[in-house]
Amino acid sequence: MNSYSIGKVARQLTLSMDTLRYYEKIGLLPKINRATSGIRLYSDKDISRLKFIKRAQQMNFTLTEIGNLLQMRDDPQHARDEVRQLTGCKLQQVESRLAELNILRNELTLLVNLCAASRQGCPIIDKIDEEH
Amino acid sequence: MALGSATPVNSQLLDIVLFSTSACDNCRRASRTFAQLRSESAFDNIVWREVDVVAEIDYAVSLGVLATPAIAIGGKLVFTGMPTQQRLYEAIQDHLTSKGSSDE
Repeated sequence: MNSYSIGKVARQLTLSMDTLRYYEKIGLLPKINRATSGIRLYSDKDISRLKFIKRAQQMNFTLTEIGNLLQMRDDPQHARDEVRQLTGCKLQQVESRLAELNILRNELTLLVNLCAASRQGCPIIDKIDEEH
Repeated sequence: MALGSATPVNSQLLDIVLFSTSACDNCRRASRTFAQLRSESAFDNIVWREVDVVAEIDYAVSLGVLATPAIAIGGKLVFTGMPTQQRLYEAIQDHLTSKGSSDE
């Protein structure tokens, strides 16, 4: 089983070591295994959990909400009703964001293709210049 | 109908839209072909429109236009790139046939 020092995890996930300790303190992470020297050793499962927390934070979910979602993640079949409802609600938010991102991706793709197809410069920038 | 307008046409009419920009060579060729097809068209109840994709980008993206030239028939993106006259006529005919059968 792989194990990683707190410094390595912090670098890999671009989180501070204080943040990692804080997540453990408030229960978002389980008690992290320690080496005989006392240093924390994070497992692949811990890393997976941290990646989930990070993704959820990028969706602006609160740490309390993330804690509830992690309960669902740990044991989906025995989650409390309120946790199930929260998960369904958050799923809708993610799907809504995905739909918005998909539109943005398509718009940017179109803009890039328009610029690539133009020999005389970029019509998008020309358009912006016209408007200002 | 003004050039570039994204206003939906009468539902009894078939809307054929060429999405183009002024700065692409392929669009200029497509625009000439499109104008020729429009003048020679034997189809009734068709509205031919050329839309500036930059001016109507929300409309273009909503139909899935990712490059120009592109053609939408009846509110659906059908061609990216300019089809031959024959292929465009077939696509219009297919649309009219399927619309006719669904209206029955």
